[in-house]
Amino acid sequence: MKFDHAQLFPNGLGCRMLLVGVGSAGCKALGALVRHGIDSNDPDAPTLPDSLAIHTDVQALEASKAPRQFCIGDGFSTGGDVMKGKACAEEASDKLREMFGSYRLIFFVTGLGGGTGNGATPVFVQLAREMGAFTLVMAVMPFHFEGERKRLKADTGLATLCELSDGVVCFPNQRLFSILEQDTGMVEALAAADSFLADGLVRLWHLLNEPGVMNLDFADVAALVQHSNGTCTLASVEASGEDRIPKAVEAILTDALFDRGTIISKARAILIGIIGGPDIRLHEIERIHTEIADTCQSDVVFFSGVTMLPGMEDQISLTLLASEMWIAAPAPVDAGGGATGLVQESLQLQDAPTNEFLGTDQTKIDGENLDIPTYLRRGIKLGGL
Amino acid sequence: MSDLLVSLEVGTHTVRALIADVSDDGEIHILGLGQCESHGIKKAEVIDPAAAQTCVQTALTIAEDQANIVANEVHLVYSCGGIGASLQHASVPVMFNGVISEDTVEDVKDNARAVSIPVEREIIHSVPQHFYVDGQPGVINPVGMVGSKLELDMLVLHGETTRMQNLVRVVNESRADILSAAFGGLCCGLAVLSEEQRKRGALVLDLGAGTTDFVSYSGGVPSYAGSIPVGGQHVTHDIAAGLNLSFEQAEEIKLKYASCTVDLAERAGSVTLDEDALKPRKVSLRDLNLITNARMEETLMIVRNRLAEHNILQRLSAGVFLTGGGTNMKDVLELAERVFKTRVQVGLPLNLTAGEEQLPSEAELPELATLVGMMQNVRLERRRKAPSGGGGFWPFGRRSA
Repeated sequence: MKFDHAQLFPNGLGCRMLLVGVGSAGCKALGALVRHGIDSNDPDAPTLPDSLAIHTDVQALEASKAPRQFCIGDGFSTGGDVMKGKACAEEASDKLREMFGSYRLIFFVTGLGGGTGNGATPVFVQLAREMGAFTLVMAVMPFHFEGERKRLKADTGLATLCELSDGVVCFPNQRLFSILEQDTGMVEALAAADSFLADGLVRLWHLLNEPGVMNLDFADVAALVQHSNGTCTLASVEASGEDRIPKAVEAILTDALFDRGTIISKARAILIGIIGGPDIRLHEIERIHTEIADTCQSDVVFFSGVTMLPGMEDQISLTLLASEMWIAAPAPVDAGGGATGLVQESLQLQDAPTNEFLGTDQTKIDGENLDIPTYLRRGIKLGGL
Repeated sequence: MSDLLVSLEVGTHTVRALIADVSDDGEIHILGLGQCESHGIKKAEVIDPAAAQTCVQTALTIAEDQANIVANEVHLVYSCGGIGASLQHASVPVMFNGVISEDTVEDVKDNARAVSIPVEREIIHSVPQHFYVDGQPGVINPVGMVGSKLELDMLVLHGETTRMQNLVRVVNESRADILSAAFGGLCCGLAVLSEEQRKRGALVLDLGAGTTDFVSYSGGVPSYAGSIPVGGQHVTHDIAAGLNLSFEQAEEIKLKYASCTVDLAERAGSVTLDEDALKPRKVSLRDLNLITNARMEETLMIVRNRLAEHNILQRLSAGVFLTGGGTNMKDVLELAERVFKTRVQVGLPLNLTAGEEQLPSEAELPELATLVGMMQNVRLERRRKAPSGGGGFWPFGRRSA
């Protein structure tokens, strides 16, 4: 275990960062983050990042109330069509190149499974990389109840993003189920997911931007995700009162988003962010680290940061980013577990030989061309010999 | 009393003609079976009439030679036309003294058939499911009952006219007259399910080379049916694409080695093609199974989702039965069990007999379900039209019910 004692002086973000929300989930999260910044009366509240909300649905874009909005396509959304999302993004490439221009770090937030998230985000990430920016993606994975088709699309999209970006932080909605009430309706579940996501984003933002006793910056997050060789998962908890340290530690170690702690125990790299009041003590920080380290592998790599905020007396906030080898969840119908796996090969749908069925109508079901091999459409990686 | 019948199926992989003696109580005694590798048919559709015609003639000739009779009149089984299904409900008031007559029944059937379908399509089957007399459900034969309102649930199947006409032309040009025609999916149900299984609820899936057809039964009548234009040839094509093989090579390894399930934990093995050639090809078994599993699972899930939309999955207490060539795929039963979450068996045509020379192999039996089912359909239609007629289960003939 190592502490990062590097800077004694607060070190704000050395380079400019752009936060981009793509699609409904992304734009909503962006809106929430911005609202948080505006609502906060704290004069020391971190300056908001430059942000950009991008969507194909002009109504959803306006509803998000994100400060800078950019609509791609004709404004009427993609209807879940990934290829359409991709096309809209490509059309807007030139404009986006201008907008992405001077940023060194671009953090994308998007919900996967839909048309804009799945289709446009890879295009943006690619663009950002071409311009020399470091790219991180926070990808929200859909609930199982949102349907199998969506889940499969999300898994494929996630794999593509893992390949294209410098790192992916995963936010698996389905894990929230264990903390939602039994009879939570779909709308409420989705709203809860939105709020968890916004919450996590806000805390991460605080951590990365607050001048702290021990500093975390974007480079640490970058190093973490690169250590991950997959994706990371984010969760935050808060506790107050005398026994807030053990409470917070227990809460984070059993958090639903970490699959009740199994993710932490298997993680290869962990980032611990602590936000406390001026009354925070060194032994408390040490205790947090020790207890978390005890549940981890012995060779896990740690990144740590501690921030003090006035007004956080008697309170503690813990944010953890844990690396995770993302395995696509088996289909709820338990169909053999072989159909979806990690993908590292990009989809080449246009190259799929379809002349075998020449002379017949394309078999199209639910907008998908079924004459194209299933393994290609699902992004299944073939290992060769 | 028995009838001599000939049924014909112009499949995407094989054209088959079956000649058999069909007794009044449904015993089918095979006299001749003619099979010919299919050409000019893709996804059950005719794309090269001349080639298809030759195949039909060959199959008929072989069957005729075996049975030692001439077969110029056939009953045609088909899956072409992009078959779709619609569940209809209609109601008519009961006239006069409130006794339901045959006319009343015909009226309500006509009403139920009045479904709006695109102009290029026509109704191929209208299958009455259950009648309701003054709200009382589950009535099988309402003729003679007293009531003020008669309602009917009906399953209507429709297909694209031109595509079906193309098939009809192919058969006619090959010197055979078509006496009747029926959708293969419906026929399978008649062949492999017992009366009890039809009552309890069952699904029959015909895994063909060109299409995947299905019929579900509940309460003794078909509850739903359909045809997905994806079949065994899609699996072969996927394998060819994924492993960089020719279609023929892909077909060969599919038949010999491919499994519908994948054991990811198993160490990847390989198989060798063209062992005797100068440069034998080695392919990864794991990749082969990943490809096969993906396609088979997807296709089965499409059927499952269609049934789920109509709340049929809960009404399959007798389970699922597989027919067609796809039944011979390794582990297909296991995959289907996972997809449908119920018992899955191979569907074998019931009441089938044959002389020693004509006896089909066990592997062939599931592929004969459509042809056998067609014969059962003909028998039931004829019985229904007989003077004593009426009552019991209604079979499905072309555009009649």
